[in-house]
Amino acid sequence: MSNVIDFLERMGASAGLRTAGADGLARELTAAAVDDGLAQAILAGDALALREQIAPGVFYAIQMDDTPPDEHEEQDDEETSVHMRLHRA
Amino acid sequence: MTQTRQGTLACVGLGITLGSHLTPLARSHIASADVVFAGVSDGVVEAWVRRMHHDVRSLQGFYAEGKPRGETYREMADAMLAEVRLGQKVCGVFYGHPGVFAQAPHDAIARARAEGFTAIMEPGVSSEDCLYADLGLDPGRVGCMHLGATQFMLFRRTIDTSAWLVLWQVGLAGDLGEGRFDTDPERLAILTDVLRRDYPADHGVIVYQAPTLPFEAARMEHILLSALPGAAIGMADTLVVPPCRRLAPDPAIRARLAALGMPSPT
Repeated sequence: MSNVIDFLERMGASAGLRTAGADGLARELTAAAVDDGLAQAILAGDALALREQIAPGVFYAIQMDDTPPDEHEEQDDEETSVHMRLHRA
Repeated sequence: MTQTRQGTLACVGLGITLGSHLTPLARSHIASADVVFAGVSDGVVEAWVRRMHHDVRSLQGFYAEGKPRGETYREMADAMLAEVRLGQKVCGVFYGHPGVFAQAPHDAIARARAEGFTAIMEPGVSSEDCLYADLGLDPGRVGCMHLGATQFMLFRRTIDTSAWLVLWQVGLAGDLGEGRFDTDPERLAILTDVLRRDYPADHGVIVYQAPTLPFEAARMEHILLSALPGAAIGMADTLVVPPCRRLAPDPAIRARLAALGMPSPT
């Protein structure tokens, strides 16, 4: 698996690999000895298939609760308080 | 009086696309840490982070369906702070920008500083940055307002329809703190009704998602606002609403400015 992670890191940083086209990408994947199933997923642009092989399962992406605080909590919210003070200044 | 102790905290951004956006400084924070906490959106990305350090602890375990997300984020901050208090050099790695739509990094840094520890944040390339590039949108032209989708629904906000409107976390639109990680056509229909206060039903909007893996393309799906309830909207999607009217000139202010005239030559 480390091969494919190293390959993805290299691809992410390489303008040449990002625009290599299918044939060029296939050659690079072979040269990097990326497992065939993983290479096929990359060539097909199938991120779900790649994730299924490397890290199956749910990954949560949400890192903020934008459900607003109630009135009491809002009074204590430091950022809100700072902004209100600045506004009044 | 507080004093600086040995433990430190650095919250850094990984950027959005694997391998493309990580800054040298963020990589250095990861490499030089005693322990790394990973708050990333993708298992492949987490595997990448594990290639950078021998002790990477995933923050994914704090999530659970039906659990209030505020509690999840407090626990994430608690986990990082516990190691800081033990004198560890801690690095929190978060996808995108660690300070944009990310609660735990801000909370952890504020609490660490309050306890006398050195704590910093290093920015990363965010979805917002990718959005400007992919959609060819310059927020400097007519302005751009960013809101969380649920907050937009629950509060009366004044929308300037001559500017762009970007609604984040639209994949959770309408969550009332039940700890949901999805939305549905009924909630999207209510969001559409809120948007219809200011925009026509046939207004074009864009469902956007920046690419996480370097062989992926950005999602840029143009739909009509009226079609939003039936759209497939996921956790990582963003709704981009273009302006629906031209900038309105302000004649009175223009006249006042014109009256000032040119500076007199000295």
